[in-house]
Amino acid sequence: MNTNSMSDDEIFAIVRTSFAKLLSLPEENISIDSRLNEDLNVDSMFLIESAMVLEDKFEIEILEDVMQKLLTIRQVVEFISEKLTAKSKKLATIK
Amino acid sequence: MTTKRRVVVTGMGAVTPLGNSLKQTWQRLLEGVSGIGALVHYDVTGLACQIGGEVRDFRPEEWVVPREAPYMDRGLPFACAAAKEALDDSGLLENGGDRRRIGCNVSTALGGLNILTKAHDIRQQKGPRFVSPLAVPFTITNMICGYISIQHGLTGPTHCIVSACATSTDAIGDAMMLIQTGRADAVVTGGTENFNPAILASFISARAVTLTHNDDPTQASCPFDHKRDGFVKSEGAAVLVLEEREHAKARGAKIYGEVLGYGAASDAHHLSAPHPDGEGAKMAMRIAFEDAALHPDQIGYINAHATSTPIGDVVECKAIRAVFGEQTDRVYVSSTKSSIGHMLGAAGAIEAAFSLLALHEGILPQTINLHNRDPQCDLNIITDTPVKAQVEFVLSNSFGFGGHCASLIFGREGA
Repeated sequence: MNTNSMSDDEIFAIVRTSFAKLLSLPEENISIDSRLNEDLNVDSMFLIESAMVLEDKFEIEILEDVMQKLLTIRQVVEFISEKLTAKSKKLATIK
Repeated sequence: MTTKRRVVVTGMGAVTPLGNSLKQTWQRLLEGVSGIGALVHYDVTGLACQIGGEVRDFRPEEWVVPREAPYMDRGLPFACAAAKEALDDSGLLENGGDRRRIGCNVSTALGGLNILTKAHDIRQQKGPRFVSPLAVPFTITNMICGYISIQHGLTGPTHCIVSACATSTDAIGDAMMLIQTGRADAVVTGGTENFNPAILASFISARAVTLTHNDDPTQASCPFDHKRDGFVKSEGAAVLVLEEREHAKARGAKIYGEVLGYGAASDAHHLSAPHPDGEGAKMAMRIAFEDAALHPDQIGYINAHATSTPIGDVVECKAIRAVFGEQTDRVYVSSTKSSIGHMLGAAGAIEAAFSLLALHEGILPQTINLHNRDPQCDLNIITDTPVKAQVEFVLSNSFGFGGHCASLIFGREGA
């Protein structure tokens, strides 16, 4: 999967599928405004687990202290989007 | 002199190779069904033993937090299902119940080893950063009782005893003592176990399991028979609700029987082999009699440990004869492992449940697959069909690797 030129909508779709699978929830229960803790009941264990899944899907690194600051699905998507943009710029410089 | 608080059993539940409830398991046991078959749920490619007693048609996510199900071994949801059945059966929590006075000590012999081996594989293949934080809680043995206490809000004593194949017999003994000494009014107790292919491979290397029945699995577990050549590994869970007798009577609970005596001793002899004269076994039975203030002539039925190994069955028969003396030829004996296989950490609890149902219903289960008895197994063994007999007291034995020997004596309520 080429993750370098993804739109936020495409990122959201993958994030939603990943959280749905991880949390055994129907996808429609997860919206861009869902709060990880309050709405999705993501505890400390599953927060780390979700970071691992997203690292794998998007081939980026998500440090634990960063993940802990992401409170909503929107913030997760924005963070991944920034990471991917930075990665593609870096790649462009190398090329 | 203060009188000892008395302990009764008010609820029971099980998930076994014979059925996903105790009721179904008991019914199929009495019908003489074998729960042993080809292993299909676990990858046992290349193993010399391809058979065992697997739990069938079981959906783990129905019994635990669904998102956690993929991270745990099957033993945990087996235990949760059995605990739910036992608690519902007892009615203990129906009117609230004082959960501060209810403990849990459901245990397992081996723990969540498939979770550990998976974490090991991920560490090697993807790197340590990808090892799940959930690998610790779902590997540790004590998460069985921890999880059940969380599910039902039980805040009394919560811990577990691990003593290989004697695990859940010791758990029931421990639960009895917690109630007798006033540390709890009720304890959810028992054991659970699942398969792990590496452990099965080690049992094969140790020549502990039978390797000669891959083509006729239902005949594989044949305690006391001259052709027996190793036990058959099984999985499943059995859970009992033990309760202080007055507490149970005050709420009008159904009582299966009383837990009268518990004996525990060690062979202090060998890693896996029993003492050749069954010293630990004899001691455990004698301590149980002393604890119950009973004598062998009062026992009507023994649920033997008898796993279908050449040495173990003979040693237990010798020990029973030594303890029971001239009563040996009278007392009924059977090994229900002939039907259900050896559930290791859950064996003691399922056999305690069978012993209590035998008392409660006046039906003593049979030993199947006993066609040519080993003359060294010279006990009054029930074969072919169950025996209808109203007995007053029963004994259940369990012995484990490490020399652990444990015996329990149960009495009929009102006896």
